[in-house]
Amino acid sequence: MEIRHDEITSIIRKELEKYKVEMRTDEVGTVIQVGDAIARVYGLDDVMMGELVKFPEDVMGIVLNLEEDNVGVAIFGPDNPDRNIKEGDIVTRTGEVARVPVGKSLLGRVIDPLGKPLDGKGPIHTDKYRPLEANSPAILDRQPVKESLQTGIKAIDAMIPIGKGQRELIIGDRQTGKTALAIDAIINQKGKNVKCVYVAIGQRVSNVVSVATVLEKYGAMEYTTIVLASSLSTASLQFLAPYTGCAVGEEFMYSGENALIIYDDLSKHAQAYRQLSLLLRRPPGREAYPGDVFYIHSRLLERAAKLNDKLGGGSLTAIPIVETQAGDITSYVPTNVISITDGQIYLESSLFYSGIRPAINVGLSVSRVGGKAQSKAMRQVSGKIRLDLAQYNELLMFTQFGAEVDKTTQAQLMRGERMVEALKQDVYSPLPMARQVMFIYAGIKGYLDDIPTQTVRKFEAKLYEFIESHYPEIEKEIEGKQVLDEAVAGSLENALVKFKEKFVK
Amino acid sequence: MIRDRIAGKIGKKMNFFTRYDPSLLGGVQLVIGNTVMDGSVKRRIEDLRARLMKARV
Repeated sequence: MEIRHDEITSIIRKELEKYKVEMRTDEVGTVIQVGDAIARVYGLDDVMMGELVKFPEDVMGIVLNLEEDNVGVAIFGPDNPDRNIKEGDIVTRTGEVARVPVGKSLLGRVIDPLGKPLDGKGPIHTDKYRPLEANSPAILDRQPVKESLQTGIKAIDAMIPIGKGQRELIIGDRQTGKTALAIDAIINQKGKNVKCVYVAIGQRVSNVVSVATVLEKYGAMEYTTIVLASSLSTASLQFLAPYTGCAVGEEFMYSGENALIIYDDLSKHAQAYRQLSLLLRRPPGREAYPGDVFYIHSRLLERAAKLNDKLGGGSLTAIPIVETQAGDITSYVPTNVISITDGQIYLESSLFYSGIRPAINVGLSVSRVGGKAQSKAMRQVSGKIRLDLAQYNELLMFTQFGAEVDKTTQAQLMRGERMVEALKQDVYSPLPMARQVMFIYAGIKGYLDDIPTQTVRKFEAKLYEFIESHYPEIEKEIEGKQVLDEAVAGSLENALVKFKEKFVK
Repeated sequence: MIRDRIAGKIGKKMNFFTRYDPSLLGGVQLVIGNTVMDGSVKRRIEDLRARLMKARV
């Protein structure tokens, strides 16, 4: 780009003309103590909770504690932001609560919790801002969750459906594929007009870079914003990150669009908040968390909603992630978030290592929204798998004692084994709804029962190829009508018989 | 003269302590308790800088 001096001069001149000399009154305070990115400030009499304050050399902080004779401030910035702040420094009020730029221009960008770009793609141009903290929509502003949000993962869409505006927790130990599941859900929103926000809290930068690379590779970055507070950021930034992401997502919801937000992960968020609270000398409670950990998560997740049609009918679907220690879902943060959300997807490392991926524990995973969040076609076929799998798991334990089994039991075992195999899915390969319906239909109608378990996934791949080349209309019909009516079911049945003949040969 | 106007405006009796601070570059800065009224040249330059940085091209 060519730099034109005269143009720049004229802009500067115009700005200078607009500038008026005026006296401004500032309210200030002085630092009485500073350390661990927390400052205690004397003065700042009328400061608001959550207000941004300015330290010397443009270092910013947020007011988190209001006490009788001093104010507790968390200081922002990368590594040791408080290194140049000392006792007696002047702190100035800004009169603003923390806010972030929002809107379309954030798509495809990586920002920090204060809305500054981190991706080196230049400044963000938008004139819309939202406060980090906002009230959640009132009950009358909402409507029931009724549309489905396709994740493209067979096991989830069939058994634990997620609706637009729902909050569904992904919970599990480390290395069980929690993030991969969430990334799949983002990738699957391509072309479905759902804007996505991925909030990374306390993760290593290299992890987030690889997430961004994957999203870029699958063309998902163009409708996604990443909010990053890495493990290098201060606890205060890690604490703010989810609220920033929520504000970005809310903008889409309030403008009548659908948005999906992933909080990865809220256990680190609670830990960051614990660190802040202890440094601010708030009394510790269970597991040394402060008394209001429940509140920090509930006020965040309550902001996910499906708005009523008068308000544009937009939605914000929240998928928080929580990491457990050795499968313990009864510790403090997991129980809190389980009770706030509308269901959870429980991932287990034992399943993961036995090759069942996604490692979803079907028994412990639920969606409290249920069938309303599914398309009719999916509802028609999915009812039976949950039952099949539950029976299978029960029998599996029973047969481990070496008990003799009769023929029906044998059949149930066979079916279950194949259904488990059928629900396996590779990462980053979400499936469209129609394909899921066709394959699950084949499963519940027993087309998989007499083929070896190892070939189930080959069967799946070949089935999609066969249908696409010979009966493309079936897929289109299911996708278009969203129902598996008798005509379609008939032709699908017919196609399956023909395919099976060919496959067995 | 400045003293009289300020005292009149605030309506309270006050004692003034004046100090010469070369880093202000010019103008007056008035500190009353936790409030700072800033009419210094330094402040004006800072404001102008912030404004120019924000200017849309």
